[in-house]
Amino acid sequence: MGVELIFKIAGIGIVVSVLNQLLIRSGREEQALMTTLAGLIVVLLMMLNEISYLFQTIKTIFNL
Amino acid sequence: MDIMQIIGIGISGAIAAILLKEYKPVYSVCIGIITSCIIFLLLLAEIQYVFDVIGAISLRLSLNSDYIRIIIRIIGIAYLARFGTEICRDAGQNAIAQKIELAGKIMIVVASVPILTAVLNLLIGILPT
Repeated sequence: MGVELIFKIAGIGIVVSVLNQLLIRSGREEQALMTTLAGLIVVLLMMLNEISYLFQTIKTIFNL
Repeated sequence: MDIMQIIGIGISGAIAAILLKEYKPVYSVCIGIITSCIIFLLLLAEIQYVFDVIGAISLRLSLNSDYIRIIIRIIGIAYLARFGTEICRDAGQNAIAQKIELAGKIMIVVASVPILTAVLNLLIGILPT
């Protein structure tokens, strides 16, 4: 269903934090912030579909 | 969906969240949200089955199906409010979590008004006025 989603997000998180450290060490703080934001946006978009699907099914099952 | 699979998903999600907590706490909250979404979506068939059984029983006992529907609606509101509250607590925002819980309680009271009026009418009818 979406189990690989968990590890995809974990992977993105690790890559972004490594990139962040790399860019900070090499003196480019702004780009480090940019990559963090970019990674966060990607993760949020991936989560969006899953959450909207969840709320849709809850609305149908509990007929809210 | 057997229980072992759900436990495995939950534990792997928890480990992934802990792993990311020290570097980027944002992602650990995201993993928390996603894992709880996935586990709930895995349980859909069972929940649907339980509600069908409840509906069938209420039909056989010729209970008023409106009340059953209200009860199911209240369960949904309670679950959603709990879902939002726990995620906000994971993110460390206890104030927001408290507000979501308050909203959930108010929505439940609003949803249960028909039952309250029915009970009141019953009581008024019984009391010798």
